[in-house]
Amino acid sequence: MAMDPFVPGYGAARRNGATFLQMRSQLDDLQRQLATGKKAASFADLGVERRISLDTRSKLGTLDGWTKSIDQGDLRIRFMNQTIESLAKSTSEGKGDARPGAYVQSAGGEVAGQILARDRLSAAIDRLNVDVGGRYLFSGRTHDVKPVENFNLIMDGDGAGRAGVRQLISERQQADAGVGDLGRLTSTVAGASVNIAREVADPPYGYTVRGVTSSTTNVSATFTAGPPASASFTVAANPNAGDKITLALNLPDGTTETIELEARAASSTGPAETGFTIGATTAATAANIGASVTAALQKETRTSLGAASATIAARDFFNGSAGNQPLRVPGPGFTTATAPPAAGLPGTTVIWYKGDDNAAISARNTATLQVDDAQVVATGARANEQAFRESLVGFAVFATASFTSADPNSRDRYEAVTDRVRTTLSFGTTQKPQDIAVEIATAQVAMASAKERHKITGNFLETARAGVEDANEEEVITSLQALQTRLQATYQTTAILSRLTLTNYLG
Amino acid sequence: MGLGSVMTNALSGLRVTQSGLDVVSQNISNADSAGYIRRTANVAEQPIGEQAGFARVAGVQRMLDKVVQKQLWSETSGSGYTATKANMLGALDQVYGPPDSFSSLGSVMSKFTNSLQQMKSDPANYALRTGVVAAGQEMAGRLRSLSGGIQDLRGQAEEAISAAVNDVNRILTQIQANDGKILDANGSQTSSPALLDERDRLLTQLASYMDIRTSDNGNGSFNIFTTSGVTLFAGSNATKLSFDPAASVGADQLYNPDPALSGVGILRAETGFGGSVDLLANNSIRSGELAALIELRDKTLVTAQNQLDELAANMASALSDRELNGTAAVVGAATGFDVDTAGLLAGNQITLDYTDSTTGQAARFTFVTANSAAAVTAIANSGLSSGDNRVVGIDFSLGMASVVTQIQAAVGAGFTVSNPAGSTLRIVDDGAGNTRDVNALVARPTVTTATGPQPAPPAAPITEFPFFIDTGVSGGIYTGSFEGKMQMRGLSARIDVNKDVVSNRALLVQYSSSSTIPQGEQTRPDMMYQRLTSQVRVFSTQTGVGGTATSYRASIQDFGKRLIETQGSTIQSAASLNEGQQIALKAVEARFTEKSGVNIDQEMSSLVELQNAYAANARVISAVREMMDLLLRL
Repeated sequence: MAMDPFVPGYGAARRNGATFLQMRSQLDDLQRQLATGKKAASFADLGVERRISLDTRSKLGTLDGWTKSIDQGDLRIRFMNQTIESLAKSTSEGKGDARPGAYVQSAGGEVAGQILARDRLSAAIDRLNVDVGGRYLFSGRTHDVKPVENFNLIMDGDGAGRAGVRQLISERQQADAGVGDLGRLTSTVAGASVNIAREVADPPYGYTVRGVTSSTTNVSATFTAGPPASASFTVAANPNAGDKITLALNLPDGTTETIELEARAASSTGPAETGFTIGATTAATAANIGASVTAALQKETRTSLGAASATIAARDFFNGSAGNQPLRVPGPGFTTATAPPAAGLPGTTVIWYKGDDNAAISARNTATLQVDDAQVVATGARANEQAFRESLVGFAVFATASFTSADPNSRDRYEAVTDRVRTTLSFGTTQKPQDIAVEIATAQVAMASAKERHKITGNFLETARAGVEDANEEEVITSLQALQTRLQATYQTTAILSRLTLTNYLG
Repeated sequence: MGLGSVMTNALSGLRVTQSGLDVVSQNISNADSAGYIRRTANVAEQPIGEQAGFARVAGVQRMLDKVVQKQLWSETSGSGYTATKANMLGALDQVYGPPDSFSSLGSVMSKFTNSLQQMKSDPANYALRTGVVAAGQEMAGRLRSLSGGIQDLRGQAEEAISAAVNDVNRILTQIQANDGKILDANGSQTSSPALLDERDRLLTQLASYMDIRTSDNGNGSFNIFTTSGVTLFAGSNATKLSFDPAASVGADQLYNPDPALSGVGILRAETGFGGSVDLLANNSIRSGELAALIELRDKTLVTAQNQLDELAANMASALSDRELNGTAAVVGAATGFDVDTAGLLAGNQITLDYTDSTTGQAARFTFVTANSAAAVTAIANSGLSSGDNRVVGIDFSLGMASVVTQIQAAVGAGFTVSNPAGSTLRIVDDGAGNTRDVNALVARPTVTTATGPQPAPPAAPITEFPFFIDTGVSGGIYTGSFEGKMQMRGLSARIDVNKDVVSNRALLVQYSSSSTIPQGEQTRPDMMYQRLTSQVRVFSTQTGVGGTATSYRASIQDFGKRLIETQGSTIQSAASLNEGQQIALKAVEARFTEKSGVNIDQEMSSLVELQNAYAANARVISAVREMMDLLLRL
């Protein structure tokens, strides 16, 4: 850039010119400040305080980022809370639906509570599939994957090789029932003795004998702990009417049942599953006991064992995931299956949960939200968390049971099924939906307090930033007026002085 | 004594007055002429024998104070320097943008980290992924436009140097021509003021380009030197300056004393014997517009470019380079680390952090992977080393045994370097000697694909990927290589977001080629955010950020802020320096004006005075005539 040539004779004018330029540019700057509200148009003009400007701006940007994350996270969490709460409500209502002694026959074989359970299962699936802006909330890290399959597929499979929960229950019920519905026990009469033992192969299904008692010394009850456990009743002498013998059984779902058989006089009659007729000889009585045991076991199998099998099978089904195929009874030939349940081949069972299922990461940690420099809250959830799974098991067991009016065992089966449904939906000491809600709520509280903190810090930083960057309007206007006065005075004086030259006064 | 002599005196008075009027009219007419020095006619008595003589004009004097003139030249140079610098850096200031602008570097960086913050809380969200890509592209674009702005300014400086050199040559030629006339006229002392004025005017012009001093040889000839002593004009010979401007200026075109290697023009003074002196290599021009232009082209703007390149390189490397922490190694009493050097690409670093136990000072060695001896030399000459972070090139093409030898030679006593197996490098301290403690040994190989094979768990997955690429190399991978040329130089002009990521945003999450990563997996977004905002990195002292003695250690985010701050302060100090210099120049000019400038009032009063003198002399002549008439009528 070339400099103006220096004219010594014009020094004064040059100085005046420079002064005017400088004042003019000051004026322009003040005008800019007034228009933009900013002290400086660049970081250079800000002076040493540019550091404060840069730091506060960067920190404000970060706080803004966190606040936005929190807002988005908050929306998701509200949805999750709502879902979990309604699910929790549904489970407790479902428990109420499965109340004991409420069996009413219906022509279609479905009781009212059962229909409700089916609806609840369907609703729970919908709830677990909730999405916010296309993000599935109960899918772990796979936000784009709808976590739960549809109701029909879960219940009945695809009819093309993939089994639904109903089929798994049926298979397990067959396996537990065994041939003749004896629950994989054998009851043989030899002379005056009735022997109750596991099937020879000792399959991991059905009942195990827990013990036997007899109220009379005429019939001795002998229990062999085994395993396999077995028991026998030996009729030494005929019992008296009213004497009782009991057979205690363990069911595969951990429940127990006790069969009580009462000795009846030959003249009286009654159902075989509750008593036996005292025969003419001890051998005849033993034979009657044997028949009675068989009848009682069959009834138990058709009621409580079926319910137990359904619970186990449903649990197995809902335990399954893509990386962890559900346990299936090896078969067909389920009634005679001897191998324990094993993971089915992929493609043979409906995998109800399609979301992220990495056991190494806890459900909560599948979606973390950084809300501050060091604070990270966990807000993830998976539809296959235990509390959700148990709810689905409860609903599914109830929904799949059949209580036809033609079946004399319907009432007892209803009691057995509802008992298990209530137990399942009570959650016991395992995770409850409320537990998940509490964990999520904790995150929500942490987020809210972080947001509040950011707001306060943000206000403080904003004040600091404004103090550095923003022009004070009063100050600018005052400066502007003062400068205007000075500039006008300078113009005036310069004009007067420029006329004041000797040349004008020489005649 | 007689009437005759009275007549002679009066006539001499008229002559002198006429000369005086002549000077006054010259002064008045030249009041606006550049470089015109007020003149006065010196009137002296011409003694005739021992008697009083008539008046004569002894000479026309230039009212010049040589001391003030020297100051004027020096301040003119200074002001040429500061004004040029302030003006060019003012343009740079515009390039960086105002604090509240959405497009300023600070805002854009903030936007990028912000977008990562958002995405990491909802990685599967397509809009948020797009936000990261868009903000990354804006960041890269901003770096490119800043770099372009800086190189434009360097190009302008190059052109301006060329124009200035032409002007300097013109001035020197004119001085030569003018000086010839002065020498010719030197016999008649009185005729030279106009020529001397012209010479001084030219010198003032010259002073605005460079710092000069003059020495008078007494006979009217004189010499001009730069203050550093380079002759610009000697006796009557002008030195010719030559400058060969580069057609275009880019980031990797730097000044080098070797013309074959220099990417920009070299300023030379031809000595007249066919030889020439490189005025840049010797730092011969220290003030004036030329000095400012040279400083901008070769230092200030190069530093600004270095800062951007350092920022770009760190952003690229932070996201693409793995951090392979060494595993502890114990050899007797000596402790240290083993690190695997497999997979290191040219330019990748291995850092050795240690404490000098004798002083308690922590320091670092950075070993840069090289594949040729030339690259090792280039690394040594790169200027990346500083006292607390010595950067050494290690030629890996010679095999591990040589690598061990090279590293051992670099680290010196107190360390034992070895190669226990395969490509493993082991560095342990001196154990019982306790002069050095090895604190960390980290290898940083660049990951070249977004979805690479993953190590078997529980080893941490490889989540790094080339988010930013160097569009100047095939494949686009930035490794910091020194093969052929320094890859970091000018990276900010070539940086962009990886096209693969732009076309497939899932790569912001998907890091494995072997298994499907859930869309909501936060590992990679977390890595990106952490690397950009909280990982402490070492920035070279070349950037001038955080001082020049020790390297600046901070997160990339902080470095970005300090970069803007450093630039702001450089620009501001140039502006305020210029302000001060202009005031100093005005002060010297005022003093000069007072003494040497034409003041019309002063000239007018001289005019009145001369008019009176003329009238008085005329009156004397008239009186003499009357007296002669009277005498003749007797």
